Amino acid sequence: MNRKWQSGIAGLLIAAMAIAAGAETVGDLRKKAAPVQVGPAQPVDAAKVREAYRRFLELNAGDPEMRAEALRRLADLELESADAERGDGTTAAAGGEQTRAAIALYERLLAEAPDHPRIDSVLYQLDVCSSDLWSRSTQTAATSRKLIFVAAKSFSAPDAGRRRKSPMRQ
Amino acid sequence: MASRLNIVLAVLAAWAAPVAGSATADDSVPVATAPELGAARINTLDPAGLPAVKIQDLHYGDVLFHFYARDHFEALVRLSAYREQRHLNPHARDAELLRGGLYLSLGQHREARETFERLLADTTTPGQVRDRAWFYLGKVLYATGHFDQSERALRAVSGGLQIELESERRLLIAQGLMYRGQFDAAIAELDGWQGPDNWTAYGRFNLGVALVRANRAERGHAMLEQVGLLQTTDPELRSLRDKANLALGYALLQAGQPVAARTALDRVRLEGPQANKALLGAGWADAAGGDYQQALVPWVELHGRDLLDAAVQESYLAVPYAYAELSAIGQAVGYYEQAIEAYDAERIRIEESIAAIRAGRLLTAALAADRGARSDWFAQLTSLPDAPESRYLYHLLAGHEFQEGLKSYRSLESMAQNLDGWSTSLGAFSDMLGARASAFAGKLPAADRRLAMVDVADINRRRDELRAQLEAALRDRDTTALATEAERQWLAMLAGVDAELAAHAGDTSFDEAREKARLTRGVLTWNLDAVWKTRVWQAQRAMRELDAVVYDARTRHAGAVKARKGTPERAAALAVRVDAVSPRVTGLAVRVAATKEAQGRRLADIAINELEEQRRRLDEYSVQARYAIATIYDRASSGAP
Repeated sequence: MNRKWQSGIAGLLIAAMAIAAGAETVGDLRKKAAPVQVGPAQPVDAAKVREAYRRFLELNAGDPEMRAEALRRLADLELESADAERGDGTTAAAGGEQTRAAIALYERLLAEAPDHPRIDSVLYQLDVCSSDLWSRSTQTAATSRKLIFVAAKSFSAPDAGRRRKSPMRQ
Repeated sequence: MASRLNIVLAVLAAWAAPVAGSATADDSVPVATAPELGAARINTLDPAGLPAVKIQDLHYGDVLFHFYARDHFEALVRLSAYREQRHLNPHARDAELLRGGLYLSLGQHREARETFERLLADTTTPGQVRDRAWFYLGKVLYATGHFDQSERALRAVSGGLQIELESERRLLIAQGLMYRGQFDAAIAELDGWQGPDNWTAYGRFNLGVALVRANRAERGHAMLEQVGLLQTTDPELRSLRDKANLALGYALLQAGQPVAARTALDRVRLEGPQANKALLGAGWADAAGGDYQQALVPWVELHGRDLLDAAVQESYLAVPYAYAELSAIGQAVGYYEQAIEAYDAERIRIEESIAAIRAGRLLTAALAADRGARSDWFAQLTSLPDAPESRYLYHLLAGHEFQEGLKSYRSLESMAQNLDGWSTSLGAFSDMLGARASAFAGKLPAADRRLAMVDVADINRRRDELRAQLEAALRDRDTTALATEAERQWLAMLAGVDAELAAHAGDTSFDEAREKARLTRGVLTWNLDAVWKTRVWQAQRAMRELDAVVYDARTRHAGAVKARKGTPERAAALAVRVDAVSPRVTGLAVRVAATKEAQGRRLADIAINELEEQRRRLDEYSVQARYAIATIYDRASSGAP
C-alpha cells in the first residue's frame, strides 16, 4: 500500500506541477521530473514468489516464451520448497507434494515448449525428481517408466544423484 | 523486461505502417498516419454549399427552411412529399440534388446513390447540376468504400464546382488513392496543389502521409513538419497540427530518430485527442535514447488519465518498466501492483457494462446523452454518470462504426416518431372529417333555404335596367333623370300648374301666375343643369359599385352552390385517401420498428465487440504485469540484483 501511495503521489505531483506551470503541450512537461528512489525491492518470501508465478500461469495466456520460463522457474521453486521441507531427509514423506507439483510443471513445460533453450536443465531436474520419487512406494510404475524414458533422452544428466539449483533466467 | 521496448516499438511501427483501410471502418486504419479529410467536413451537407436560388415555389421554400434549420430529416420528408405531389417543378433538379444530399447526410447511401444516378441519367440535366451530382455521387461511393468508382465519379466533374467543393473533390480523390495503396498517384494528385488555407493544410498532411508510405521519408517528414508548425488559432487546424506532429513523431521513431521524434511529439497539445498517444510516444522516444528518467515524465502524466485509452493502459506497464530500468525496483513493484489492480478493476467494470448492454440499456443511455442538434453533445459525453450502461459511451462513440450505427438508429427513431405523429394525425383527420360531415348535414337545410331566397338572375336584370336608364339619360342629356326626389316633386307640381294655366288660356288674370311658373321652371332647369356633371359622375360611380356588389353576390352564390354540391364529394375523397394512407403508415411503422430493433442489436454487438477487445487488451497487459512482478519477486527472493 505504501508503494501505491508513493506512485499515486508521483503522478499527482507531475500533474499538479504541469497545471501550475500552465503546461499546454507535451514539450512543456520537459521541465518536470518524476521522483526516483533507487533501491531493491522489499524482501519477498518464496511462497509469495511461487504464488506470483501461479497467478501468472493461471491466466493461461501471454507470450509462450514467458510462460515456458515461468513454468520452469515455478517448478524449480517447488523443488527448492520440497528440499527445504525435507530438511535433513529424516521425514520420508516430506516435500512429496511439491515434488509432484514440480514434475507436473516440468512435464507441462516439455509438452508446451519442447524446444525450450534450457530443456537440458529441465530434463535434468525431472530426472532428479524421478530419483526422489523412485525411492518412494507411492510412485506408480507407469510414471516411473515415463520418467525413465524422459530422463534417458537427456544428454546432460549424467549425475542423477544430485539436484542442482537452477538459475533464474537473466 | 528488456524486451518491453522492442514490443512497444513494434506496436508503434504497426501504427505507423502503411496499411490500406476502408473508409467505413476507420478503426482499422493506423491512427497516426491515416489520410485526413477533416472530420468536420466529410459526410456533411453544408447549407453554405447550396447555390443561391430564387424561390419560385412556396413548397421548395418550406423545404429549404427546414434544411437551413439543419432539420434534415424533416426537410427530406417534406421534399419527398412535395415531389410526389408535383409541387417542386420549378426547382425539380435542385430539389433532386438536395434530396440526394439529404439522404447522404442521413447515411442512406443507397438512396443517395440512386438519386444522383437518376439525375445524371437525365440528358437534360444542366452542366452545373451534373457536376454537383457527380461530386456527391463520388462522395457516396467513397463513403461506402467503392474507391475506384468514387474516383471515376469525382473525375467526371467538369470544373463547375465552387472552390470548397472542388477542394474537397481533390482531397477525396487523393484519399481514395491512398486507401488503395496507390501512394505515388496520390502524391501526383496533391503535389503542388493549392486551395483555400484550411484545405491546403489537409492536402499537405495527406501528401506527407503518402510520401512516408511511399518510402520517400525525408520529403514526407518535411511536409508533415510544415503542417506541424502551423501557427493558427483555428480549432480544426490545431487538431490537424496535432495529428501531423503525432504522425511525424511516430514516423521518426520508426526511422530510428528518437530525438527528432521527441521534438515533433513535444508540439502536441496536452488536452486533445492525440495527447495520449503523443505522451506515450514521447516516453518511448526518451527511452530509446536511454533516458528513462525523462521518459517517466510523460508516462506518469499519462498514468493519471482514463484507463480505457490504449495508450494509458500501456503507460501502466511503461512506468514500472522505466523504474526497473532506473533500478528503482521498489517503485517498479508498486506500479506493477497498481497496474494489476487497475486492470482487474477495469475488467470487472467492462463486464458490468457488457451485461448492461446485453440487457438493452445502452441505447437508452446513448439517446438520452445524444441531443443530436447540440453541437457540443459529444464533448458532454465525457461527463456522463458513471453507470455501467453509460460509462464507455464516449469511447464507443469515438469509433466510426458505432457512431455511424447510432446515426442510423437515430434516423430510425426519427422515422418512428414521424410515423407515430402521422398515425395520430390520420386518426384526427378521420375524426375531423366525421365532425365536418355531421356539421354540414346539420347546416344544410338552413343553407338551402337561404340559397333559395336569392335570385341572382333577377338581381342581374334589375342592374341591367338601371344601367340602360343611365345610358339613356346620358345619351339624351336628360337632367331630370338624375333629379332628386324633391326636384321630381317640384317638376310634378309645375306640370300640374302648367295644366291648370292651360285651362285658363287667354285669361289675363293668370298672367302673373304664368310668369311665376315660367320663372320657377327656369330656376329648376338651371339648377338641374348646374349639377348635371356632378350627378353623372356620382351615378357612374354608384353603377360601378353596384357592378362589384352584384359580381360578389354572384360569385358567392356560385361558391355556395358549388360547396353545397362538392363538399360531400371532397370529404369522401379525403376519407378515401386517409383510409388508404393509414395502413401504409402502419406497415411502415412496423418495418421501422423491426429495423430499429435490429439496428439496436447491431449497435449492442458493436459495443460488446469493442468492449471485449478492450478486455482482451487489458488481459494481455495484465499477463505482462503479472509476469514482470513474478520475476521481480523472484529476484528479490533470491537476492539477485
